[in-house]
Amino acid sequence: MSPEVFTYSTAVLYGISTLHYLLYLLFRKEKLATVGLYSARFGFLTNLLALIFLIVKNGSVSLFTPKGAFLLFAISVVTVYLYFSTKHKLSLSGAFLMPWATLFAFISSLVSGAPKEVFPVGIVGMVHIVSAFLGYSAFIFASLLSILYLIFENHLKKKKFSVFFQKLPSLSLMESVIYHSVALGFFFITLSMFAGAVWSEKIFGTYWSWHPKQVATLISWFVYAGIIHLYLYGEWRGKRFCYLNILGLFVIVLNFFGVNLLSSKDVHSFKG
Amino acid sequence: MKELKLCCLGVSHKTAPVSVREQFSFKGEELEKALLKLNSLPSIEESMILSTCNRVEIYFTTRSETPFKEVVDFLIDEKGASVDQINQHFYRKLDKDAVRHGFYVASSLDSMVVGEPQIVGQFKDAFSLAKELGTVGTVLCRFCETALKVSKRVRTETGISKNAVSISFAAVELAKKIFGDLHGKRVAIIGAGEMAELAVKHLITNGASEVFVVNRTFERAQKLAEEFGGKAFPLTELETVLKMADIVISSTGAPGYVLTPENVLPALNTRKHRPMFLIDIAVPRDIDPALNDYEGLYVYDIDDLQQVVDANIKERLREAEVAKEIIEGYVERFMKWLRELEVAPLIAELKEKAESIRKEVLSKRLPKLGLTPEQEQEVDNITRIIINKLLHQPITNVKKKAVEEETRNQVVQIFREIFGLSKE
Repeated sequence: MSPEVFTYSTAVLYGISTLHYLLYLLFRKEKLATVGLYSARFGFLTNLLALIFLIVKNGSVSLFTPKGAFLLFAISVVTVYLYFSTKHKLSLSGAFLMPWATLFAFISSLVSGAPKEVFPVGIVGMVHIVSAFLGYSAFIFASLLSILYLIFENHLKKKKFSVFFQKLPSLSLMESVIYHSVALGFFFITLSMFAGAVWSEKIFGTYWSWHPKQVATLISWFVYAGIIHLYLYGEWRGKRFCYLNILGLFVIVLNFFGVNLLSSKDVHSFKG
Repeated sequence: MKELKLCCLGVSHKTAPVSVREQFSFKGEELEKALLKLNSLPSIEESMILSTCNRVEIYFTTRSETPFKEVVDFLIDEKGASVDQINQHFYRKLDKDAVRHGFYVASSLDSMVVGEPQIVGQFKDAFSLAKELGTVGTVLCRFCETALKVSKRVRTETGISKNAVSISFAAVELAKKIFGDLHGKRVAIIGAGEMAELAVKHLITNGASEVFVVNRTFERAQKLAEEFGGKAFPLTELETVLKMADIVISSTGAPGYVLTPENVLPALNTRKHRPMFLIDIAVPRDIDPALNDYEGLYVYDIDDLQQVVDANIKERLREAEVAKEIIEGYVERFMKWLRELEVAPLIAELKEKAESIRKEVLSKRLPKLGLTPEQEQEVDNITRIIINKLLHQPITNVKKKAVEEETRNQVVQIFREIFGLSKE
């Protein structure tokens, strides 16, 4: 079966999920959030099938084509969301996270999935790219939750009985979820860097070559190492921790969109 | 025979003041006597009385053409009321409306505070008393069981009884919004007062571990501390207490602010960014509202808490709309069941008639054929199957038509005539 069918259904299902979460934000009916959750779950399955069929069709190197990369980005965003929101009552964050997944799935349905050049990927290459996207997604989730935390805190203070006030669980729980998400992202980004170095040695014969992507990722790694350090030992709790995470989001956006999508040649450009 | 009607005659907080409601309420033995008397009325088939402080409702089934008349007379008789009084305050609901109303009541949609669960227990009590006295039968039993089932579903599937609708519960809800889990949290109560003490009790049931009581008179503090299993402090040690507490409830009669930046900020600084929740239940206020502007301090006064309660009530009303959708499905199903129940005797009669014809013909003709016992058994089965298949369609159709409001009586009449069934 062609991966296209599943790519389109993924974009549609994530779209339905986004729509229901946005309506949930407006009308506060739990039923809407439930529809949002189930569409996201089904979308996760079609997303997974789309990836599997793409790999079956074009080989694992197709993960490095625009289609493969965006499918992978979409599924890792949704994975992180489903993992945290099912454990804690965070349906509201769906309204902020699912639009991203929808956007990525939509882009993946437009772009090509046929690799232009073939290079050996292997297990190391797979681990490298999958953990990189999981890492980015966890950081994105953490920063979106940080924005929600700041709104929630503000409304608690100002006594504004908004949907955030009513539907978000508690400041302390959100802070702990944000921290766990950051820690998870840090773990995956570290794993990705090691796998990337090993893989680079296999293909190019060198672990480290001061390539722009490597430098950008190293900077992100230090930024998040700093954030975690400040949280654990510098007592940057609550709102300050959230500001740090929003700063982190800028670094990630620059890193991914700046370096990956704008650079013209090398494996990180996803030019297919 | 006229068709069966399910009726509700009632008065509630929505239609009458308490002075009227108390006049019509039934309590204890009086309720039993009244229910038995009501059920002995000639036209009443089944009956049940739900009497609470907010409502008195009589549910009954009857085949009378003027269904409410006898029950109204009964009320006039029993309670010495006038017809005008009843016309003015009582609502009369029939069939679908009565069923829907009953389901709303049991699901607490009709309560003074929507979603409060007491009514479920009261409804259960009314039902079990009626069952005990044998005044409810097939119809009202099914009605009550469905109502209780609906009520349970509404409670679990909608947020109708989720959010706090009293000041003291609102304080707990807010504390949870800030701290999440209240286990291990420490509460200080300054002064005394019913609402403040109630809030502390709720905080303890929700996990708060330690209570510090501060009072101008130390004896009063000790007494209260004993009640909560906490520690008592004189007012002079306020600052020490503030350094230990996560949640502070203040309810003193002091004219000025008791908690000010001077005594709260040093405490806040020792807390290393852990937030502090200050609740002010006193009028005039005890807590300087300027404290709310400091990072990590959340100050709520009595008006703020009232606003939380108001917002929650609004939220419950929103959820009530969802509940109504759920209930409507059950109302439809119940009415369908009730109408089908009406044609049940008709169908039974038809089946009986067919069976007697079959038996008669077989007993006359079968012996003449000289069949083996196995073959006779087979003929018996075949004729049975023919009859079942032949009657299947008419029975399904008459059941279907019996549910439709306009054509019901006509269809039943024609059905009787066509199949030559008894007229009533």
